Amino acid sequence: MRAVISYNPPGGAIGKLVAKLFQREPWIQARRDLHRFKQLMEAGEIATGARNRRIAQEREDG
Amino acid sequence: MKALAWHGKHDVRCDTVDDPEILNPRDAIIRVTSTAICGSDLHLYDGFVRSMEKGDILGHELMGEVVETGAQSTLRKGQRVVVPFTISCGRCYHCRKHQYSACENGNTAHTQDIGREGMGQPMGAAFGYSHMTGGYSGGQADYVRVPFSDFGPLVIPDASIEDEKVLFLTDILPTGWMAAENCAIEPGDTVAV
Repeated sequence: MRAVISYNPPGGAIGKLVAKLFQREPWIQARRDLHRFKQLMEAGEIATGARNRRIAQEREDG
Repeated sequence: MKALAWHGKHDVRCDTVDDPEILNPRDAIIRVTSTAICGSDLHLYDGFVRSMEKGDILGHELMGEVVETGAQSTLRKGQRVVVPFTISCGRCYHCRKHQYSACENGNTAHTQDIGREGMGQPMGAAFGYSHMTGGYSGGQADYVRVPFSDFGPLVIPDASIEDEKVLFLTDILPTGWMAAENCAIEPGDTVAV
């Protein structure tokens, strides 16, 4: 599966760089979302390296 | 529980940490009865591996007793299992070709980017070996969460076999085996190790 995304980042190239630094750039987010979808379809679940719910929540919150 | 945690270069401590839990349907929780220190643990100890975080639990060679299972685990409580160091789904392209260390689904979507950006390719997943391989807690601990427990762990049904006789199926023996296979070593060959 491939996703083609076209967008104009707020703030232009600098805005895109800032979004990338905070891991919020659409290309990164889409790649990760597609990979989670692949995990769900193939493995039946989405992988997490967390040991328990507390750590999973901490990692989700960043 | 007690666990051996990495706190920095040449700084490994026996910490008291919170226990693992079942997070995914294919998970199991193992009470560790034996674990080993691998030569590659020294790379972590010596600070050569990036993406380690303070408090990360070490250890990727482990075996033990099943104490809890997820809804889709095929293990049963009380079973004795050897746990491979790689975390592999058993269903992706590479797993179907028996290339388990290249599993595409064991490492998490965001930690795959560490290897992708640092080395050009994402890594597979392993226990206790940095966030580049998924940030999974390792087995140098009282308990460990084992993902894909219906696929990876090897059940040891014979209680008379001592841990020491099967523990090295986790990593050391299969790693040497794969090296021999990759080099096409045959009986009678002379090799340098």
